[in-house]
Amino acid sequence: MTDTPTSDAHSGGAPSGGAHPDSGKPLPRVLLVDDEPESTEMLALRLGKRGFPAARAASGEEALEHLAREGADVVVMDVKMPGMGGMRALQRIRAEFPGVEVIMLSGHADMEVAVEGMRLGAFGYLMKPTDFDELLFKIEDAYTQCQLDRRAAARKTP
Amino acid sequence: MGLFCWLPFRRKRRDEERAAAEEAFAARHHRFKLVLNAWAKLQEVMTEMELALCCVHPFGMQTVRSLCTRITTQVFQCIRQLDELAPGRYPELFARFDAIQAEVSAIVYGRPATMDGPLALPFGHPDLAQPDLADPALTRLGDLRAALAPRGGDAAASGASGASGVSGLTGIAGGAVPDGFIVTAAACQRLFRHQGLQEEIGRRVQASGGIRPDNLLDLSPSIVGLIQAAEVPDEVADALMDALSALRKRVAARPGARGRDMRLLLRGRVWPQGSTGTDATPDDDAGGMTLWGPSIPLFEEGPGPDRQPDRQTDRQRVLGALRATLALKYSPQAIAYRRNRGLRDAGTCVCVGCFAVEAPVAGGIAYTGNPLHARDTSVHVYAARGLSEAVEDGAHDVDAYHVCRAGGSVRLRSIAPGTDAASGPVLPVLPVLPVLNDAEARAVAELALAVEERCGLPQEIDWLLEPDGSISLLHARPLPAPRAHLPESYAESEAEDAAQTECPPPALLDGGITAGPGVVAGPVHIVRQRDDVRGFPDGAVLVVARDLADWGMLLDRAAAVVAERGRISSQLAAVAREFGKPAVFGPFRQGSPLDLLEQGAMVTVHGDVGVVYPGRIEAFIESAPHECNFMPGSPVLQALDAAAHHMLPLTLDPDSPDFKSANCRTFHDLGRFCHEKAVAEMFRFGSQQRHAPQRVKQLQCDVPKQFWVVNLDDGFDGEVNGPLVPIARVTSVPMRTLWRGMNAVPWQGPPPVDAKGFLSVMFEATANPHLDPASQSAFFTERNYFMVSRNYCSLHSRFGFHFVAVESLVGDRTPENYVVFQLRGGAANIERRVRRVEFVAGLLGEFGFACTVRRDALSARIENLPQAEALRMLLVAGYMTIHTRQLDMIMNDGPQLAERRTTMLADCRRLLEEADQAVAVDGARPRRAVDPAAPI
Repeated sequence: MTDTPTSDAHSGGAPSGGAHPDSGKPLPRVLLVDDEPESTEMLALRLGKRGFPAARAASGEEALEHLAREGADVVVMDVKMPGMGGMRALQRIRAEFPGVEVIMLSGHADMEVAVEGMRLGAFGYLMKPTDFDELLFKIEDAYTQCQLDRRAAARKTP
Repeated sequence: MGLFCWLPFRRKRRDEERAAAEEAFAARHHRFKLVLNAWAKLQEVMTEMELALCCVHPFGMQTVRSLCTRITTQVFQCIRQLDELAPGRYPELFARFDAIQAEVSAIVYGRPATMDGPLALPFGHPDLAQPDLADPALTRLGDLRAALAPRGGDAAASGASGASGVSGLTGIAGGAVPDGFIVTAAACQRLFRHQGLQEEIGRRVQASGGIRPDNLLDLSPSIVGLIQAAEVPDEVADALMDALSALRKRVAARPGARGRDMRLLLRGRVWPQGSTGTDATPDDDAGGMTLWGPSIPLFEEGPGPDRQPDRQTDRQRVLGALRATLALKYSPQAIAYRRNRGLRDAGTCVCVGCFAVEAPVAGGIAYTGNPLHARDTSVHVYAARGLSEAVEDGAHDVDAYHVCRAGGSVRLRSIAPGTDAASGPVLPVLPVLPVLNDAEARAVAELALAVEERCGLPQEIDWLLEPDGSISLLHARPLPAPRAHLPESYAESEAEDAAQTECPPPALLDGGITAGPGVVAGPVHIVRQRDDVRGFPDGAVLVVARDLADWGMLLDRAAAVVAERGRISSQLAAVAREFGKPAVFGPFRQGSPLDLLEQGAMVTVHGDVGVVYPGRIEAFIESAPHECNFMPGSPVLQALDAAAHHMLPLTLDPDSPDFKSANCRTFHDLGRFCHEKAVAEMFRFGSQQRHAPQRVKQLQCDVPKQFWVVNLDDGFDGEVNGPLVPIARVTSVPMRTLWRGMNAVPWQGPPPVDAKGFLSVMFEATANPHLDPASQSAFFTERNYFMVSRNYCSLHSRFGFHFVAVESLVGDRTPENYVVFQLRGGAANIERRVRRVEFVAGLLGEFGFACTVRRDALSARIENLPQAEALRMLLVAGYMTIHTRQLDMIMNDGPQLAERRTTMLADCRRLLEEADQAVAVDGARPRRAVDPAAPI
């Protein structure tokens, strides 16, 4: 993989995550959601360098559209966005796309919002500025969780 | 034939069951790992919070909130994942969490109440007495306005006060407070709460990682821009314009008002909420700060007196000035100042005083005492042309006058050399004229003394000289008392110092003035421009050309200040004194410190005598008072302390029957409880009847050992048949390393016990029901267990009354790696057991473990280390697991103990060296301290 295997939510892109260049491990398809395009762009670039393909969306509405169209494994989403807002989008993703894990990012050190997000089923809640490795581990863990859940669901309903 | 059909079917079913079981284990193991990560992270953040509580460095509410939020999310994660492992088994955990979170939330997010009250009031209005509506100093100014001789026509403004009878003194030079009004804290609060402005400011601070010295220069303009572009709520704008129009009418009605260049001068004040100003302590102004807003023409700039000026333009111009003033609350030096004082942004009020003055010819400040020498009682007047701001921010040259208190004679005049930005000091051919003549300097001094007489304490005032010769008072505050005794002269000080040092080295710089007393040493750091601020190291000596107020933003990091030129009246000097930082200003005898001091060189700044010495001179430093730290007792620290009370203490004891979810009183309790129960749940699940034959095996190392291994997920290299698992088939990297450490040095058996030690054991075994093996939780009673996966290992081991637990997660993720060694119990009496854990803590401390001792229980933890290093620590932990057995028996035997310590340290070091060498020999593999794949 090259430095920028990023695909844009608008232009459509790689539908599957592919495999890690080094280990052959399957890679999560990540969707980055933030109304500040610079922040998702930067993050997508850095994730791309680690071999993680990342799509981008600029709002909760756009994220839901993207999930309906192309799907994703892990969504990394800002809490504060105009329009639907991160919390509402989180609720809808958990309800409409089971098996997709959501990691919330926030510029606010707001304890109530953090706990609320976790209660609504967010896999994790990280504060900006985020330590990149911490986010990367969170994405990997969320992906493991989502694979395990999908396998369990598949076994229950063969 | 039936048999042949049935067999493959049975095999298929068995395979499916096995696959399902493996998946279940993988899923549980993942949840378990999330608990481990959260618990480890929780402990890490709790340590950060403890460090913050030591308040070595200043911090703000953002840090407090960020710490609390991080702790809260980790605790929630622990509870949530435990609930997945044991659904519904611990329902009280969520209730306890909610209760504790509510308490913490109220402490760190409690928003100051919305202020009611008037939005704009003229100086001296009785409603200003309401608490927190205006800065105590501005409120006091209203009283002074009434008390000092008011100029003709102004008195109407303070209609309520009875001093208006003295009016009509027009034309007589004297001091007075100009007419004006205050945009109250209630109005400013509305502005900041309008359209989420304050939230957005908080968000920007948070998103840049809190307020840090290195981001101040980016953060501050971002917030300032936000405020300058903010919308002023209509009710605030209306109140401001109404008050202004009333002021305009009053001023226009004054005789001789026409033709004068009248200005509206904005002075913001920021002060900690709750300062009443009523108790006249010298410190009632502590933490207050002036925002030097712009001045704009007082009257609307209509094309002529007859034509209606554009009201909208006028309104925008006034509101722009208000925003510009308020934006200064977030200037780098203002942010740094609040942080250093430990003031909560939410808990600081801001209001703006608006003064009607004639464009001043000069301005400055005056002290009715010496902020450095208590015995100096002359009045110190500092003056610059234009507005008095110049004197504080140090950007302009400032004249100094000492006026004798009794006779009014101007004793000392020091005139700033005129400078030209391009050509440097002007040649002495041109006569340099003083800003003030003696009479004017005397008038300023008289005003300052009048304020002092009125207030009863030495004062610091801001004044303006208007073209008609009258002096206006803009601000008055009690002068901070000199902190320490200063030697009156250089000679006196030399004599004092001589008693301490044989021979002080020749000074690098001398002849400077004391702007802040004290002595400190640090490396030189020269700052020529704002960009140099970013790389400023903690504890360096700030060396600058001028005493600009801007450099105040460095005073949290600087140990001392040396300026090529400056005045003790500057804001930089005042802040340096406030924080107890030595400050020495030139001109120096030797020349410019920027040329003479070498970047990075260690110097000792002797603030008391205005001298900079080379190197670090201990004798001077020891005798000097230390800098002051305002964090203890500050509102920010109080909030953190109160919140920490609900988070940090561990009140549960896992050995006690009270170790129940309903008894969790702190977040630490909750985390600890969840970890303990998660481990128990994993064990319980693995040892269930239907899984046990596959998952629980006795360890085989040549012969069967008295250790059992529970495979949590991928701890074996495939299916293991029979009741034994050979160590070679264990894939758990941490377990293999730990096992190697346990077996590296054969245990010599129990140490030779003195008679008392033996008796102590006998007594304790009969008297302590806790030591009855039957009363221990099932976990520890029977066997020694490893619980393993590829990257995880937890060992619970028991030898007699002696319990050791080792837990470790070791993988590619350096920040998540940790090794924990826990030791408790023992057979001897409590004193010996306590001494034993202290002894072991001392040993593990040598290898970098952080040790916590609670009575006779030790928990030693090391974390955030690369895989190779974590494995080395596991070797040490393995060694300690075996060789700390029954050490409690010899705890009274000093010589034997010392010998044992030496032996154990030597053993561990040899173990680590051997491991390193084993890797070095095998050059083909990537270098690792311990190769987990090596045969054991």
